Amino acid sequence: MSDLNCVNMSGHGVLERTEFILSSPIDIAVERILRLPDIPAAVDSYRAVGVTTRIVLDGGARTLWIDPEGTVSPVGETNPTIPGGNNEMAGTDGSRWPVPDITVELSGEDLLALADGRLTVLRAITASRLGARGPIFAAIGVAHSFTRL
Amino acid sequence: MTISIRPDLDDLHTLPKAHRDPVRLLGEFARDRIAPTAEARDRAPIGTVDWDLVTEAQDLGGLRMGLPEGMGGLGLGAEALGRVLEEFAAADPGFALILGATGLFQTPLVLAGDERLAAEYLMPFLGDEPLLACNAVAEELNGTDLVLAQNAPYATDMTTATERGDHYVLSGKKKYITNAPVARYATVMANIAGHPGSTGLTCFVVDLAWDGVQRGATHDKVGYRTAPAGELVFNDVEVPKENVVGDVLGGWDLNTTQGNICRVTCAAIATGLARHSLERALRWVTERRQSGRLLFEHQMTARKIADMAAAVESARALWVNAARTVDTTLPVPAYEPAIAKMVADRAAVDNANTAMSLIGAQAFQRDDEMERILRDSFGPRIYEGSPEALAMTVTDLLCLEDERR
Repeated sequence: MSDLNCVNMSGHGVLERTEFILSSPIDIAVERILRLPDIPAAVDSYRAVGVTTRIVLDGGARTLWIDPEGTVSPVGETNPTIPGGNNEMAGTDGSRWPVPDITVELSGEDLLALADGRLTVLRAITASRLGARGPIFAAIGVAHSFTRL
Repeated sequence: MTISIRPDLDDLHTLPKAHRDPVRLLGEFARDRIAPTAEARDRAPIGTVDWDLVTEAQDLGGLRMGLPEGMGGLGLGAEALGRVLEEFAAADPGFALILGATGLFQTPLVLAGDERLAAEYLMPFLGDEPLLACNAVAEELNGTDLVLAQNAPYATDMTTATERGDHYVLSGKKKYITNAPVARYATVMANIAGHPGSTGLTCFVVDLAWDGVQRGATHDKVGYRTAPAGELVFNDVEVPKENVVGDVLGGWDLNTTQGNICRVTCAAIATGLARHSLERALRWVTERRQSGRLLFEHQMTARKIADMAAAVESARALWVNAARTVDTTLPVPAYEPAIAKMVADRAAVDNANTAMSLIGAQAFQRDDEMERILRDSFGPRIYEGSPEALAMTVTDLLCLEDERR
């Protein structure tokens, strides 16, 4: 699946100056999550949960961090815990992040489906499409906030 | 120092702070108010509900344990719920089931997060009037066929939901449903017409006061007699489409998910039963003398007591482990809850058997509590997966690759 963004199309359907941007679902999903702070219904729903969240998309292809206020930061491709018990995690870019309250794992396509209303949170849970580590009702609350993106 | 087989209700440090007082209060309520009156409830006419005690439980939050704190519930997770239900089961497992079955109705709605359904069907549990509810899945011809995925195509003659305009029309009969004779609401698993077997399962919220709902026979059960159970008959009951919980055709996965969560608390209930047998046996072997010695000083008796204690402690360790996994893991795990329930269900029966052996002729009297414990001990293996269904689940998880399950 791809998302075609066409720019400057004439009234007769002839493309005068066209820029096709092919984005993968995961890229679009990341874009949607990055908009979280700007969508009141979504960010209020997220803040109500009161957690720091690590979002892992497509098995670790992309990882994001959301603080309790809803600020979203991409943290690189993988984010392993530092051995030795430090209360931090390392990004592959050398950045360091505190251990989150919860980790939520899902595919980029499923995140878009949640946001677009094509997938309910309940279905994501019962069909094993939503993964989580940490208090599960907090994870479910975070997933509900995604339905408002 | 003497070790107590009873958990210390003042030491709940593994639970979130907000859950400790409610768990302690409900646990003390079970020990102090439910246990002394269990025999009377067991001998009452079938279908009798002790509404005074249900109201007391309601006042302590017993009918809103799993509802979110933000809604006014206690917000208890699986471990906290298990602590409470082990205490109720050690006192009177039928009373544990009254509370548990109401929670089973609430769980799908909590998971779904549907605000309209929550407002209409969960908020009433926060009021002063004690309300009971039920989860209607089992039928005359369909038991394990609704538990194992490979059996689903064989679940025939299911309660059916036929689409008609903005409603579904339910037709069929549920059997062996805890709280059915007295429940106000039910989550009902029905097959969408045209979808064979139970793979067309869909979950509906039904107000049991609606036209067409009929309370069928109340079951005269061998055990768990405090909990009324019976049939629900649906004679062309019109259910609004908005009362579908989750997705149409999503009922099987929902039932499986809920079942995996519920197996943890079922294992806690079975542990409570195993513990009750041990407690009764301990009173006997520390008081009765034969050949000049207290019974527990005889080696074979000592071995039996030790085995019973090991059964309780291992069952408890397993359900607590399963609870902590369920509380912190999605997808909802299947392995830990199945193992926990398998072991605890066996512990309940084995400990009752051993206690009967230890106590002898005294336990064979109708007026000894061991008679009730023995009957109740066979309850856990009936619901939420028989020992055979659990064994198949465990073995499939160990042996089959994901795509073959």
